[in-house]
Amino acid sequence: MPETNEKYTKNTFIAQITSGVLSNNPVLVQLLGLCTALLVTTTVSGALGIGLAVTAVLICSNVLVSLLAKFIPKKLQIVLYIVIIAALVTAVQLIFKSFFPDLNKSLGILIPLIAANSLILSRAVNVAEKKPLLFSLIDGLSMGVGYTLALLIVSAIRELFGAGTLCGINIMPSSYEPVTFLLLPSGALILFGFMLALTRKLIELQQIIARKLEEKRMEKSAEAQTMTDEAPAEPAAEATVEIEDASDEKNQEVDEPESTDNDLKEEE
Amino acid sequence: MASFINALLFMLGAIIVENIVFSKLLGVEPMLSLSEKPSKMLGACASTAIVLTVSSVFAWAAHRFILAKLGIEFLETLVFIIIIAALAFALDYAVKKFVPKLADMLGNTLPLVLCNYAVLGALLINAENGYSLAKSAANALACAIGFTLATIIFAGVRARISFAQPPKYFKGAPIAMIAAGLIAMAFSGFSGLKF
Repeated sequence: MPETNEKYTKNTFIAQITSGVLSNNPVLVQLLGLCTALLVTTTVSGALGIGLAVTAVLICSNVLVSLLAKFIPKKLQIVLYIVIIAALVTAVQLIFKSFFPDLNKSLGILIPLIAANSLILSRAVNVAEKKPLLFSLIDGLSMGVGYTLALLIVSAIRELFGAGTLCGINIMPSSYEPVTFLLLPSGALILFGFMLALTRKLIELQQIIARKLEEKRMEKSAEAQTMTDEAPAEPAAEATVEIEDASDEKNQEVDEPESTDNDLKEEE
Repeated sequence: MASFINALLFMLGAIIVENIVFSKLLGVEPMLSLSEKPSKMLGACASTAIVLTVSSVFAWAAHRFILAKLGIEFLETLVFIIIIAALAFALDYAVKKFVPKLADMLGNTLPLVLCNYAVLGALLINAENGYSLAKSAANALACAIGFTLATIIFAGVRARISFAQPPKYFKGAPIAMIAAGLIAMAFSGFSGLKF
């Protein structure tokens, strides 16, 4: 009995982590933590730094909140949660100051602003408070990874086409004239609008693929069942192989989004 | 008289030329969510303005008399958040206690104020630039007015969008973001103004 229970939770955890990347992405679907995303995506290095900082704070705050939720009076919940988050952000700020002084200087007030990031507070209120410790921890990890990935993709587009560099290294040929519009506030807002629409399209594609795979699997299992009546040993092995193939296909489809991203932006 | 005009010009610059939403991109999120519900918009903007202006005074005092004196400026973020949270909570409590009708109409504005980058951002900008007390308060008030102005303009644009028929994937948030980008472009036209 406990074994099956563990297996079930393991599967749901994997599903939870992957959902944070696309179908439940914090910035591109839930529109949480949008301000940081708009401000920080001018450079890839800054986006990576802030993404990792948000992930760290998110995991720690989820763990702390899910441990402390019982002892906090209902009225003071939000207020105390944000104080916990601010304390964690102060710690992150000190880490940045001592280990990455250059990044700290270029990010300026963006690191302390993580304290007001709506992603962290909303996860604390909606998830960490109600769910057990492990679930909150995985949720923090999944949301953090989704957030960091989204920031990295958008910042790569903005830096590559807006400045012709990636992480400060020149990539584009010298004849390329950078689209500085992408680095302006208005460019950030418009690019994010397009990214949101693109994400919706990708989620729809993913759902269609998942449905088709499910149908295929159902057909296969039905076939296998009819065949087991005749010859029990061989078809079962065949069926498992085919299912593995199908899952490979799915992986390829999931990998595709990033390439289509770039294609679309290049068209622009 | 001259100082009064200077203060006015400083505030005008902070409201229009360096609008907290459209040129600094702080407070985009609450603007997006508030513009969907115009009935709650002004109340939430007013509570943001009150919290922001009052907290700027407290933040200045805390920075000047506690943090700078003890040499613990790295606790700035924590102290500012505590000030903002305490004030927002007090305001929320007072409204619920004394004007329950208004509280019902506004709903829960606490997270909107706490998660508003415009509030914490304005305090951090004040501290970073080392503004005096009057200048801090003026900057905070200007940021609050700028946020309200942006929200009202954007709510107007959003009301227009609701009649349009954008492509399927652009419905709702994406087209709103693009509209916000276009307004930001219009606001960047003010950047030539120098007072």
